[in-house]
Amino acid sequence: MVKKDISWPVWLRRASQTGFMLLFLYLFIQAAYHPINRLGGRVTLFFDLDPLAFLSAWIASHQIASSMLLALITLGATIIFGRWFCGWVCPVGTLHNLMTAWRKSPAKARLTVGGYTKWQKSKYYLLGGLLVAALLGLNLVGWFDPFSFFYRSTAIVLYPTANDGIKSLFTWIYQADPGVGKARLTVVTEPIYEVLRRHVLATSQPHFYGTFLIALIFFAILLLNLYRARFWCRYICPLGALLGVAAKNPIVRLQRNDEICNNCRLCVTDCQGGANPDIAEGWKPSECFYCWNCHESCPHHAVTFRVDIPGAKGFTAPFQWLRNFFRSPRPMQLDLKRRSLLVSGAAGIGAVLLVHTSAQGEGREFNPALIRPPGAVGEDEFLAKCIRCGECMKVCPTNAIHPAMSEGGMAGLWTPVLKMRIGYCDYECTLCSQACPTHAIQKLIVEDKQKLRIGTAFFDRNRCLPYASARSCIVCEEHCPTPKKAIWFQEVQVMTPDGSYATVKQPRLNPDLCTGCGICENKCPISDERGVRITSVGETRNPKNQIFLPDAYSGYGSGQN
Amino acid sequence: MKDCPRRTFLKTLALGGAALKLGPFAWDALAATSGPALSIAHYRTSPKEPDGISEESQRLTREAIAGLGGMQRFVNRGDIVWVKPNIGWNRRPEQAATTNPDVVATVISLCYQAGAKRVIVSDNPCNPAVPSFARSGIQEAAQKAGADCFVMDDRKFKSTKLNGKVLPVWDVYADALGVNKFINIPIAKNHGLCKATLGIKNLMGVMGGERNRFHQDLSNTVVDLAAFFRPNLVVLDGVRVLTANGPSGGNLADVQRRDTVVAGVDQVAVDSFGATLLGLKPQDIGYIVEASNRKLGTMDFESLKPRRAEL
Repeated sequence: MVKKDISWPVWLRRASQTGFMLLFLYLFIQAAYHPINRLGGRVTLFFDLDPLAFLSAWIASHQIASSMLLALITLGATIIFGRWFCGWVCPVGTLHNLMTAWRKSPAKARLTVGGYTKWQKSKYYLLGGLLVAALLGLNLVGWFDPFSFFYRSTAIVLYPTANDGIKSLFTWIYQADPGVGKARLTVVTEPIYEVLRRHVLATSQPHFYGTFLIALIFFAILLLNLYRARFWCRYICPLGALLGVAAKNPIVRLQRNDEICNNCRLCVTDCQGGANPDIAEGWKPSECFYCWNCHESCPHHAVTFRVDIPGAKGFTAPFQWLRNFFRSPRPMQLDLKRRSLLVSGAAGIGAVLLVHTSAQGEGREFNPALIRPPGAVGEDEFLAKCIRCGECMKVCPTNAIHPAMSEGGMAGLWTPVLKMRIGYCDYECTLCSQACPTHAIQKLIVEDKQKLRIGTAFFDRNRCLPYASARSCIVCEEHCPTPKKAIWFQEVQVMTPDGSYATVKQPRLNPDLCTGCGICENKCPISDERGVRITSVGETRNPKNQIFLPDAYSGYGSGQN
Repeated sequence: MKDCPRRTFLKTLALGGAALKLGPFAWDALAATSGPALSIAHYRTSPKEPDGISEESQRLTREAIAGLGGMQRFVNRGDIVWVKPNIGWNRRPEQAATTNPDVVATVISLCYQAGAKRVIVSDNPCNPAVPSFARSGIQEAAQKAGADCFVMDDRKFKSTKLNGKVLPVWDVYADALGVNKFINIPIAKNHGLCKATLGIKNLMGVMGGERNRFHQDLSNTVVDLAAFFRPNLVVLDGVRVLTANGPSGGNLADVQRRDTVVAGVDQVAVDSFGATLLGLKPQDIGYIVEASNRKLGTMDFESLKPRRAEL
């Protein structure tokens, strides 16, 4: 029946997919200190190549990071050659490809569901809604962008769990120290672990808020491949949709040799995109990933890809090709319905209005827990630029940056917030600003970052030990990183429970010097609710979320007159 | 007691050695008692350019250790040596929040010259470890000198019996215990709570767990560590000292030159002298007083007749 030897285009595709997957993982690992406040490579590469991230950030904020201009190459190549990106480059596509290949379903079943269905248009409607919202300044693309989806899932779920699993295994061997006689297993395992620890694993185990939801969504989407081949790519992926729009009229086309073809339709059984390779003149370029599986599964190789322009011979070919953009043959059209487009556009507008009228819309209320990384632009602009990819969460060396749940309202889901009980903003570090692909966190040099305030510290005198328990502590002052410490202390005589007096140092804050870095909260020994806490008030990026008169710097006591 | 309390104390320990629960390095400390207990090397000039400071730091370190009789007094052929600098903060060497890398590198070289098999350098910093190791310059200098210097492996903190006054048991970095020799290389700097961070306080860097609770009784907790570890040698970096806004510092205006390196076998005496570099009296610093009361060494460092070298 089907030939088992696999032809070279499929091997080439697999090599390309493997290469880009490895590159994705390599760049993921490189998104860390190397070693002083510098990243280990071009960690934003995949986002730079992503025209969806480019387009949404651009139309929402009217600005674009220059590195993202690379996305135009992806877009241009897709317009000319087709949607190769999805089949040969995209690591998310590779992942779904693997899941699809892994499932076992008989060819007969795949024969009935492998072809194009109108549900594949849903991704275009989703794209439409997202772009309408982006046009009005709200960028929700990060929820669905495949690189954001994969990077976030890797940073928040896969990497921490893999890290923990590997570490637990080696720790168990290290502690149990099994062996025969004098030969110990650790002689082998410890050098391996040392290499992993120095080059692959996290320096300290990452722990994130909101892992469960992200894990649930990630694995649900993986499992959907068991229902339909590359479910995400066919029905959901808005980047795929954007590339599909671009790939309406590629010069590389599927060609059926009708003299050999006996209409067995085996070509559709392994079709990844649902592009109808089996129907004469019915191939849909917008859905085709150029995986060459149709070519592969055809017993007679009646299906193949050629550089070809329909109805064109000789010098008319370029004109015919251009004409196809405006009057394309029916199978090449996306066939989107006007009503459905209206609904998706209305949904986009509705989402924007909902966010505007929510409690946190337009600065009616400020969530004290909405502490953004240093360099984050004002909240409206931030929501226009942030694609929720999780790069900042991966690079943060103290594990301070977490995916927001409700801190920034529904519109802020999975945008970065700092959790000082887990990490803090290191005074000498600007990694998150270097890693942000869309400049939602602006590029900063350390000296500028040190002048920014992301929040303000407040002492809770009911909990802080020298106030509440007559004990010395002052760990907050010890760690305060500003050259002149923002935390100072007063020596005070306090009564101890047995009635005697003790001298303790009670911490105070100089709000003019505080950057809100949160190391005081992080290092406070009261393990649950800390004796000193950061809230977002005073953040440089938000002129409304403030406490003092603008000139409060010199204002101590001057209000008396 | 008054003329040589440390020697008397160690002899007492030696007599009851088998019965007493000794610190891990006490036997070696005992072997090293012959010779001067404290050596102070001071530079007459104060070079400004980086190369000059580097040369100064190396010469001072060599001279201070030579004053005790050389590294071979402390390190034998085949020894595995743990070197504990202060890499507590993500700061540059000139900010004087971390030990001078040239001092550390010189100690490492001397260890190898004395026949050490392996020298391990590490610390458990307050700031993120990877950039702290790099920015302090210590990792590069130590690796160049041939030592193994990498951030700590957090699996290796083991609950250890310290038998201290307030710390009966605490997490200690296991590799720091599995060595033959322990050399403490602190830097002298200001500290808000206990006035000065010196050698004894620097021992916190091999501890794990909730170290931020030590501060509620800092004198007793760090002296518990001093009593447990008893370093074979303490080399105090006083080339640059941090006089305010410590221990993290960051303001170059708070950094002053003292152009001094102190080496000693009496950790209390080294810290007592270190206090004077910061313009303090040993009596001002709670943990020095406590360590002296527990007879871990003498506050009266002059009584040890320190060997002084002017370069």
